[in-house]
Order: sequence, then structure tokens, then C-alpha cells
Amino acid sequence: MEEVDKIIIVSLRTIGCDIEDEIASLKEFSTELIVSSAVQCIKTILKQDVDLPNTLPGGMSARFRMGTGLANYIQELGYKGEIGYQTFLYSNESEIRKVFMFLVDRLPKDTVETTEEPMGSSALLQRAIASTVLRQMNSPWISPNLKKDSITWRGKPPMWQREGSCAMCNYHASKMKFPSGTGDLTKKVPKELKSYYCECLPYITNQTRNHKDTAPSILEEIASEISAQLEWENEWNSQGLASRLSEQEYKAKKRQRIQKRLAETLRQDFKRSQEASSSRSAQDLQQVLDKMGSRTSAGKTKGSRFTHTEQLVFAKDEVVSQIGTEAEKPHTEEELQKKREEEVLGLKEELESLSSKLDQLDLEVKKYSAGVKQMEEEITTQTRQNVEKEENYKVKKRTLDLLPDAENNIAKLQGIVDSSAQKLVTLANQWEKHRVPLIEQYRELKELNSKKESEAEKKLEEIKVFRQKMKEVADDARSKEEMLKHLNAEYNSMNKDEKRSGYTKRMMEIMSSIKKQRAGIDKVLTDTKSIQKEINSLSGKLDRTFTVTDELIFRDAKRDESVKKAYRYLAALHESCEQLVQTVADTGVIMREIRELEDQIENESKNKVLSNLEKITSDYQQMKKENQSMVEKIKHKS
Amino acid sequence: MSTHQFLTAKSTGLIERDINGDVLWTWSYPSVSDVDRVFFTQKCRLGTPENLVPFLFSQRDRSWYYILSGEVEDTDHLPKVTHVSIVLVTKDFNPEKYEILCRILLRKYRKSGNPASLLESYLSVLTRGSCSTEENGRFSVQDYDVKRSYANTKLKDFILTYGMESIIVYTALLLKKRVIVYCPENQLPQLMSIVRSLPALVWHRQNWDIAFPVVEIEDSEVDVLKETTSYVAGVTDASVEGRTDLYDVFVNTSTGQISIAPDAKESFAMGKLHKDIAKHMVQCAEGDEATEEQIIKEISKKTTELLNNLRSLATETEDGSHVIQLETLKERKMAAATESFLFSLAACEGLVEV
Repeated sequence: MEEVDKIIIVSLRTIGCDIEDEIASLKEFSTELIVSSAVQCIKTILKQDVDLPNTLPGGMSARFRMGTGLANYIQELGYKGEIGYQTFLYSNESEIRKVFMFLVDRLPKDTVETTEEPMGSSALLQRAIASTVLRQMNSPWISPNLKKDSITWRGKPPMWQREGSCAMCNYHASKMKFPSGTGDLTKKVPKELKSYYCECLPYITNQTRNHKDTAPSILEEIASEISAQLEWENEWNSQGLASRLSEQEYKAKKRQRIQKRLAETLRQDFKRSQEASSSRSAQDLQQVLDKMGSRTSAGKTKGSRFTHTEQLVFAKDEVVSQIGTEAEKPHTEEELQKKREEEVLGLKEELESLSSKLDQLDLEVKKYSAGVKQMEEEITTQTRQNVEKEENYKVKKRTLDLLPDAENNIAKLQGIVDSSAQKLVTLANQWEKHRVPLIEQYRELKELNSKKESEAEKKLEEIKVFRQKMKEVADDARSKEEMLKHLNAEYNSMNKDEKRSGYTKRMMEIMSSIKKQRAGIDKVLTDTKSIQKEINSLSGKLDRTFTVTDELIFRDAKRDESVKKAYRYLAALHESCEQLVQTVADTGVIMREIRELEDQIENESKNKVLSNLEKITSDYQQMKKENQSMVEKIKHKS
Repeated sequence: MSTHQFLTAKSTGLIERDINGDVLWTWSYPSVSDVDRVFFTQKCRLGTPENLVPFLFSQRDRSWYYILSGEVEDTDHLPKVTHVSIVLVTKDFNPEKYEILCRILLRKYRKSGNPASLLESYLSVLTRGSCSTEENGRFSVQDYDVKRSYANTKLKDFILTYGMESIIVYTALLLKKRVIVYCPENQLPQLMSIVRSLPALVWHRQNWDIAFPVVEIEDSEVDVLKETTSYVAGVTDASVEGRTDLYDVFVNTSTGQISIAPDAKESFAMGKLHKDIAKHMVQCAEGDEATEEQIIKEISKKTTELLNNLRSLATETEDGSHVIQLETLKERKMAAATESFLFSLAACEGLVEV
């Protein structure tokens, strides 16, 4: 019961009831405390304005009203037991316990769960942001001139904070030079390089043009290094391992490949540019030819002069003509016309001659190309035929030599041919003897090699799988560490009043004791049953034996006196024994009744009937007095 | 006059693929250079047995090579071998004959597992012109006339597929231009049959040296093509269409289109003459009972007609030879296209004054 009380008291404290620390059980709750805590509970549960005062009012009628109001609310909430104003004003420990248990149960779970908010990192971050912003907003505004780089030292617990955006600058990163290779102590850094690093290379804070760029540049460098490392890891894990080369070989191969591609693209572009430039050079050639052409034909220059003068005449008419050429105008026009006609004729003639020349040249070109083609073909055919004819000539010469003795020679030749064929065949057979084992060997070695390769591939696969697992395990470990951190923080921030483990222990103990009790009860029940059975069987036996003896002796009793006496004694014995048994049974019944009555007495005594009665009578008296005073007031008013 | 040779074969060899998936040149007679070995091993396509072409032939270095490939069955004496090919390099074009010969030789090898038996038959054909085959048969070189190979064409299908456009190919061959035929890799036999049929369009020349049934577009073979002025080549790489420096006419069997390279468009200007011939060709092919021989005959008839007409225009020169002069053609006032076509044809037939 103490634990229940403790739990109730703690939850009442969390919702805001002002309970003194000394009070540890519901017995010690005074009426006011009971009422105020109940009101608080109801307010928390219903979350709306409950028109009940927080404390017990002084007047009796008001108290009475409040009590009934409370009881109504609680009944509305669903309390199934009997409740009324008397539960609060004239309280009974067990009833109060039940009521409070019900109310605490009904308390909205949010209040209980405020401590279990998700401690995710984003939530943490947001909370941190909210708190910082709130803090900053609460402090008064200071002009930016008074802050150095917008940083100030203030706040309730004073800390550095950055306010405003005047001091912000662009994120501009520039290339930085770092000493490389100095981290590996086994490798020696050449003297000159060392001296350069020590003396000449400026500090990275000095390397950027603008000091504010230092941080961005460093960030960029680190980010690029990290990403390069990650990229390399990824590539190595996926392709590098599969290629089964060492790292350096793989890198060298990659470099070669990239260089090849560069060379190819450059070559293609170069070709394309050459073609473009050749077309351009053709254009230049055309221009040169034009120029040459214009120089040879006088008419053209005339034409150019003509056009030139034409332009002068027509373009600068307004400007120049006024002064110099006014008087000469009609003169030059006639001459110009004549010149024009002459030049047109001359040009036409030239054009005709040129076009006829062009046709002629065309024809000649065609003829020449056809001729060339023909000749080429003839050359090739002739050369081929030559070769063939040479061979034929050789063969024929030999045959001619052999011709005189044709028959013999033919037979001889045939023989030679056959024998050489035979020789070749035997040679082939001999070669087979050598060839077959070699090929077998080659094939076996290839098989072994391929087996090794497949094994190597399997191992590679395994390595990949292991790497994957490693990664996963590392990730797991990291996340678990983070969780551990979070949970630790949570645990530390939680208040330790509840001692949940203590509760659970007691609960388990209670459960085990209940089990034991149940076992004990079961035992007792079985015992009782067995005893009852025994009693039944024994009484049955008794009855049967008595009837038998009764009959037996009664039969003999008619004749014999002693038997009659014995019979009378038997009857008396039976009766007294029956009485004994009856008394024992009655005693048992009475004992049970005593026990029940004792229980009832205990229950009733809890009700504190007497004290409550006194209170009620006093309250009743008070109410009567108040009623009277109110009646008098009304009378006065009216 | 050439001497009578039973077999103009230069060399023969064996390529095997074993159970490790490794392709190896295992035997040759007489010796075959390393470059050739690598080339033939690549060509026989044993590396990808799914794409195996049973019989492949093409031209290389002025000689023809024939590769017969097959899967090794359990009855053969070749343990650890999954596929085997035989390579035969000869000077003449006669796919039928060499296919049979290759088959015989390969079977002998597979049965015995010993190339010496192969060599025996080979030498016997080389020296005597015939050899014994299984089932007491005889293989005799004389049974295979080269003209039969020439006439073993699929022109009917070709003309039916391409219709009037096949005149372009005919013109190209007449004018000794360069033709490239493209077929996807898995239709290699079709490619070979098309390429070997096309020279039959100019039957009067009887020159099958212009046919290169299977050509890979890599440097060595491309150089060979570049040196040849006129050829009919078959390729399995569709990107060749972009290389207009290698062809004048491109036949794409997968799209059924014939295209002309931009540089050569002038030579292919067609006139009424061409249309006539084209119509005639298509008519012949469409006839239900038209056989290959008939088609070839008809086409060659037309060609000879054309050439005779051309020759009639010849004038006699000082040294007594008949030549065609451009001026005579010009007097005829024919369409410019026909005029240039006839003049080029004359050049190809050797009728132009030099």
C-alpha cells in the first residue's frame, strides 16, 4: 500500500499539487489537501476551466456544494464506485485511495510522457536554435558599431554570441599550398624542400589575399581531400579489387587510359581543325587566284576603277560634287556611259572564252582520268599475269627438260611425289607424338590457371563481402554509440524520484507472494476437501455399523436381558457421540461467525463513524446557523 | 595459259577450342605465319561458339581462305575439345569445292584425332586431284567446275529485295566502283551469299577477285581495301556507313536501302538507259520460273548489248585500235549523265584512247 501511496503522491506533485515532503501516505492527507489535489487532478484531466475553487471554502454550505460538485465531476469521468460529498469531507482512507488511483490513472498521458521526447539530433538542434534565438531576442539591441565583428559577450549566463550580419563575408576559397609528405617520418624530405617549407612558404593565414578567405579556403581543401579519399575508396572497393592489381599498378593503368583518351580527342580535334584550316586555305587560294586573275585582265581593273569612280560619283555626290565636279558632270556622264558599254562587251568576250576553256579542260580531265583508270588496271593485271607467266614458264621449262623420256619420267615423278607424300605423312605422325603431349600440357596448365583464377575470384568476392560487413558493423557501432550518448543524457536529465526499479522489485515480490499464497490456499482447499471426504465416509461407516449392530442386538435383545442392557448402552453411546459430533460442528460454525464478525468490526472501525458523526453534527449545526443568518438577512432586506 | 593444278591450295590448318574455353591453333601444313594464325583464329569465331558460322570464306592477300567449323561430338577422338575448325587457304574461288573438301578433311581428323590422316587426304588431292572419302566415296577435283561456283548466286532474291535500286549496284560494278554490303553479325551466311552473287552482274568479266565476302574494319584489312580500286566487300559493322571514304555504294540489308556516297554521286547520274536495264532486270527476277542462270543470262545479254552499242561508236585511230573518243559521244548529243556514264564504261572496258 505504501508504494501505491508514493506513486499517487508523486504524480500529484508532478501535476502541481503542493504536497509537503513529510506526507508519505494517504492516511496523512488532510481534507483540504484531498480536495485541492482532487480539483487539480480534474483540472489537468479535463484541461478546461473547472469552476471549482482550489481550496476548501470556509462556509459549510459552500463546502457541501463543492463536495457534491467534485463528486459529480468524478462520476462524469467514469468512476464506477459510490461517491458523494462525504467521500471528500468525511474521508475514508481506502475510498480516497480508490478515488485517487482512478484520477491518477485518468491523468493525460502527455504529462507523464513529457520526459520521453524523442532525442533525435534534429530535434536537439532545433531546440538549441530556439533557445539561442530566444536568448538573443531577450537582450536589448546594441548598434553594430559597438560590436567588434558582431560578437558580444552578454546574456543571462553571459556567453559569446554573434549578432547581425554586418560582419559576414562571401565564401570565397582560393588555392592553398601545404607542405606535403612531412607527416610520414620514415620518408626523408629533401633539404631544399624542407628549407622551402620552413622559410619561404607563407603561413596559410597569409596565403589568401583577404584574411577572411582563410577559413573558406581551408574548408574547401579539406572537403576536396575528403571527397577524393572517399572516391578513391569507392573506386578501389568496386573496381580496383576486381582487377586484382596492386594499388600502384591500378593507378598506373588508369593514368595510361586517361592519357590515351586525351591523345585521341586531341588527334581528332587536330584533324578537324586541319580540315577546317585546309578549307580556309582553299579560300585563301581562291582569293589569291582572284587577285591574280584580276591583275592579268585589264578589263577587270578598268572595271574596278569604273566601279570605284561609280561609287565616288554616286556616294559623294552631295559632298564633293558641289565644289569640283559640277562643271564636269555632263561631260563625264557621257564618257562613262561609253566606257561602260565597252567594258561590258569586253567582259562578255572574256567570259565566253573562259567558259570554253573550262569546257575543254573539263573534257581533258575526264579523258585523263579515264585513261589513268584504264592504265592502272592494265598495270595491275599485267603485273599479275607476269608473275603467273613466270611461274608457268618455270614449270614448263622443267617439264620440257623431262619431256624426252616422258613415260619414265612421269612414273619417276609419280613415285617421287608418292614417296614424298608418304614421308610427309610419317613426319606428320612423328610430329603428332611431340605435339599432342605439348598441347595436353598447355591445356592442363590453362585449366589449373583458370581454377586458380576462379578461386582468386571467389576470394575477392569474400573480401568484398567482408568489407561490406566491416562497414556495416562500423556504422552500427557508431550509431549505437550515439544512441548510448543520447540515452545517457536522457537518463541523467530524468529525475530520480520514481525509482522505477524499486517498484518493479516490489511488484515482483508481491506477485511471488501472491503465488505462494495461492498455492497455500489451494493446499488448504485440497486438505479441506480430503478431510470432508473422510468425515463423510466415516459418518457413513458409523451409520452403517450402528444399524447393523442395532439390528443384531435388537434381534437378540428380545430374548436376553444382558443383551437388552447392552442394546440400551449402545443406543446411549450412539446418542452421546452424535451430540459430541454436533457440538464440534457447532463450534466450528461459531468460530467462523466470530471471524466474520471480527472482519466486519475492522471495516466499520475504519469508517471512523463516531468522529464523522460528530463532524456531521457540528457541520449540521453550522449549516443550520448559516441558514438562519441568511433567512434573517433576507428578512432584513425585504 | 596456266598450268593445270589439281589444287591451288597454299596451306591448311586446324583451330581448336577446348573445354577451358581457350582457342588455340593446333596444327598446320605447311607452316603458317604468326600474323596469319592470329588472323584466322579471330576469324573462325570459335571464341564465341554461339555465333559459330559453319562455313566462312573470304579474300585476303590475293588468296581465298575457307574456314569450316563444327562442334565436336562424342564419337570423335578428341577429348577436351569442344569445337574445331579447319582453315584452307587457296588461290582460287570455289566455295562449293572447298567446302566439301574441308568437310572430308575435318571428318577424317575428328574420327582419328590425328592430323596425319588429314594430311594424307590433303596431299592426295594435291598430287592426284582426288581422295577417298568415307563410305567408299571419292572426292575428285574435276567434279567442281569453277563456273558452277560463279553461277551459284542469289541474284533473284537480291533484285526482288531492292527492286529498281539494284541498278545502282549494277552501275557500280560496271564502272568498277567500290561497293560495301552490310549485314548484321548473325546473318553472316546471307552476307557471304550476297557478296559472292554480285560479281555475276558483270558476267562478261568473270572476275571474282573483286569480291571480299567478309571484311573486318580494322587497320590491316582497311588498308588492303584502300589499295584496291574496285571491290564488293561485306561487313558486319554498321558504323562503316559513316566511313564514306571506303565506299561509293552502300547496301544496307537490315534496312533494305542502297545509298551512294556523296563524293561519288556524279558518277551515278542515271539516264533512260539505266531505267531500261533496271526494268528488264526486275521483270526477269519477278518471273515465277526464273532461275539464277536465266537471270544471269538475261543481264549479261543486256550488258553485251550495251557494250556492242558502245563499240559501234568507236573510231579507228592511227595504230588501228578502236577507241571511244569523247568528241564522238558529244556529237551524239546525249544527256550529260548518259554521256559520262558511257565514257566511264568505255574506260573500264579498255576502249579509251591513252
